[in-house]
Amino acid sequence: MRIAAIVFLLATVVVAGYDFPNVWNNAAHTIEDKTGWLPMTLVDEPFRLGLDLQGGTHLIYEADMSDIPELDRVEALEGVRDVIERRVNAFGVSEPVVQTTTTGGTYRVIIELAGVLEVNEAISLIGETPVLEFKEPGEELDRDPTEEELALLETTNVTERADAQAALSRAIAGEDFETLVQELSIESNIAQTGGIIENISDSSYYGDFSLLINQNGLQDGQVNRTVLENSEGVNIFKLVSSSNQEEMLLSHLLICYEGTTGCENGLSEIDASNKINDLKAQATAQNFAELASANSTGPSAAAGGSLGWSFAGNYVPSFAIAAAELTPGEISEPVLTDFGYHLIYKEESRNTPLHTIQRIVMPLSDVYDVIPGVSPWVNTELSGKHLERAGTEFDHQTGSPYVALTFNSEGGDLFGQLTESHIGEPIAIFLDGTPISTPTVQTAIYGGRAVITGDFTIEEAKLLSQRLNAGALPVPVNLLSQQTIGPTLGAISLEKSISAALFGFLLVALYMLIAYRLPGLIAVIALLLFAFMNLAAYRLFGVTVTLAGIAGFVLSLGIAVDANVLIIERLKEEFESGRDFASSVDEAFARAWTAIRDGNITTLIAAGVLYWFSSSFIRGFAVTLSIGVILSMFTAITVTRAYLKTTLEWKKIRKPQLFGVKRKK
Amino acid sequence: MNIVAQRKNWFILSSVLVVGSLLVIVTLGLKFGIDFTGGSLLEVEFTESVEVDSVRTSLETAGFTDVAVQLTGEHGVIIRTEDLSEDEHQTILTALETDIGASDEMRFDSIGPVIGDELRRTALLGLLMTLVLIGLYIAWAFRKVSEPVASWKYGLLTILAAFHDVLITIGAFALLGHFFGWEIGTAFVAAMLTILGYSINDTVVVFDRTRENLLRRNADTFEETVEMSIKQTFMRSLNTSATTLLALAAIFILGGDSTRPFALALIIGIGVGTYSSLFLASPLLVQWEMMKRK
Repeated sequence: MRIAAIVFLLATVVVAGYDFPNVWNNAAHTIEDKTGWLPMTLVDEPFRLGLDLQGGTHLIYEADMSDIPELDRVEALEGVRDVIERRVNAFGVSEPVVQTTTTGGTYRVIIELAGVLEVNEAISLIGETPVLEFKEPGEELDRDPTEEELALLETTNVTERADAQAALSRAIAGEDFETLVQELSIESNIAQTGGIIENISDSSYYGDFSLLINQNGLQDGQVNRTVLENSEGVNIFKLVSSSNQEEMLLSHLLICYEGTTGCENGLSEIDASNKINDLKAQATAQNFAELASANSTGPSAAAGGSLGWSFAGNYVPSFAIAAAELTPGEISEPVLTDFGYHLIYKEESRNTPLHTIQRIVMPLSDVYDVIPGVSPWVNTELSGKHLERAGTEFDHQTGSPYVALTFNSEGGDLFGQLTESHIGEPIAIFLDGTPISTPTVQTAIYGGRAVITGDFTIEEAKLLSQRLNAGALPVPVNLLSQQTIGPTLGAISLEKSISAALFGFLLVALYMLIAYRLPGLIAVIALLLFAFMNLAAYRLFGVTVTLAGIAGFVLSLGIAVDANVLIIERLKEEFESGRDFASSVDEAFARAWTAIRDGNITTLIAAGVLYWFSSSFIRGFAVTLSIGVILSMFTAITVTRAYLKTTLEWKKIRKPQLFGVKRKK
Repeated sequence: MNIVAQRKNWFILSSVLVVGSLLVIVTLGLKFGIDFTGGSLLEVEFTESVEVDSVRTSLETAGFTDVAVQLTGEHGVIIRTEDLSEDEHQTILTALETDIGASDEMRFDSIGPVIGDELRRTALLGLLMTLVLIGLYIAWAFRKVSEPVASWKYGLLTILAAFHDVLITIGAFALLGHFFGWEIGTAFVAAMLTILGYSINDTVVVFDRTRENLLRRNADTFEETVEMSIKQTFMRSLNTSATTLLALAAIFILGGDSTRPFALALIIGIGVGTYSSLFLASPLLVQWEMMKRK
């Protein structure tokens, strides 16, 4: 017992040193000055203070999950948390807390930022969604044309149309068409093509020309009497030649097998061959569509195998030959192509004219030509969602910072295509609607890496890469509540609560001394260790000390001596009943224990419930109160007992008046 | 003084307090803080002295009419409004800065109605849960003493006494809210839970002694046993409460405005709790037994 008592006394000093390292270190240096021996020094790390004591803000956001399927919501919330965490980190707050809660069908993110003065900035940063876009050259109106511009367009068009009419007159008058093409056409590749377009049918891309030819009954070599306006300009054309070709309305049924293009059914060639023969035996003109829907592995299965009207030239050769040989209403024998085995059903066929024309394209202005502020960029499919990460890097030569982007595999492919088709041209990278970089593509870039160079300072480049990394929030968030404590109020609260704690300790100590004399003094010494142990526990477990937390600590000081009161009262009682000191002490501890246990456990239950339902500020109270109650059971049973027994070994001190006891004679 | 014998007096006193509290709660109502009702609270400290009217005018010009302005000291005001968005919050700050002068924002709380509803619900649930859990624990802790009183009766009476303490504290806060504008928020609920947990301490001490005396058969009748237990534990019940109340008094006096209502709620609750454990719970136990025997 004596050893235990000494250990506890030493522990009081050591634990106090752990709680207040600066005091410990000062003492250590004083010793060094006097003796030349430096005891171990400690890292002076402050207690972790809550937002209400150091100032800061506590934000609760709710994620709007209405568009997210039930099963994906938790994951989406984690996504929101990650994004917010990255954004908050970009803000440079020390030890930000970002937590999620999902109770009762709500999905929330709780954010605690310590010492943030510009809370509004933090809030806008958290809610903001940076938009990263990759654009290619093109035209995109960024406003509607004005009346003036429309009028200008009209007059320009009048002149242009007049020019085209003049050219048409020359062509009709018999001037050499080839010469006119070379002289007037604005098509970029006329040197090679001479303005010739072959095999136009009504349904082809140049169907407008075909329609006019059929409608006007143009003969070979004849110039069309009217011009044709389309998006390319004003067209003047002549029919070079016409021919009739068979156009077929076909359906087919495909059974692919392992190894053919795009096949996923895993059939062997033998199985596929057997199956197609089987189907051939069943197939009739009436059930073909049905069979195709049920069995075909081709994409046309959905349409009952129908391929629509088309020419033989549009199919792979073996298919085209087999189809051409069929009479309308007939179903072919199995046909093998690179795609697998086909059955072809020819529903109808007709002769369709195909035309070859030669044309002159004359300019015709449109709205993009008259509005000066047209954005020269159009969106591509590639955007910030394809970004895997962004980082700040430095140019080896110039030392200037740039932002390096890494795309995911889809983004890498898109970026590859984009650069491939724009070699020698610029592409633009837009952030939040503003171009931040317009590099010119030197070569096609595969592998999903790109850089944004620009006039960045290091900070700007870092901020940009952080913002890009943060990416877009997967779902929208709403700010539900905000609690902000200014640093001034925090400092005042801290100061006041510390003095309340000290004063509380003094009051309790004084009361114990007056009420219980020597045992009271012993209880106070034990209470000192209790107080220091509490503070040490806050450090060890990283408890955030809040205003309510300090209140919990002070309250636990009051509660901690309760156990001592119970024991001392019991001790007096046992002693008065005639026991000697030593056995009275043992008896007192044994008998007081159940009451101490029950009283403390009920307090722990209340603190537990409080912890469960409360939010950060009040939760601190539950935590410190719980720690206090648990530690108080330890100090009351072990520490006070060791002190009491050791003291009582000293015979001179065994005076009833020191214990406030009247011994029965 | 024979506490058990005079139990009628204590029952009357407690009934008056409980009924009075209920009346006050029903007629005056409780003044809930914004964490329960939703709303915003802005505390600002100006460098110059300030008046309620000028603040109100400034806010009205800025478009905020439904506001309550309260002075804190000469330079400070607390402004209560419906819950504000961050933009509205900034608008108010700018308005005050232009109209009245430089200021330091001490705190700003804005609680959406969703959170308010939720906190009210969980607070009530928390209170009920605590009552039930503590009752179960006490019934379990006293399971070995079933003669002459069943252990669940100790549990029930402990809960009843604790409930009595909490109800009277709420009644007191209905008065404080009505006359001094003290609000009931989550901190108050924390105080209620703590009262539930702690005031049971004293009741347990008395019942524990009753349990011990019953096992030892120290007295002839049940009534005498209980009276003896109260006498034996009277001083220690007072002293345990006294130390706790002293600690709370320190918080009340020095802890600052934010924790003062919290400390007072605990002081009232624990004070009443000490009374109820000595003068209410044990006499009720006796009364219960007498009624059973008739």
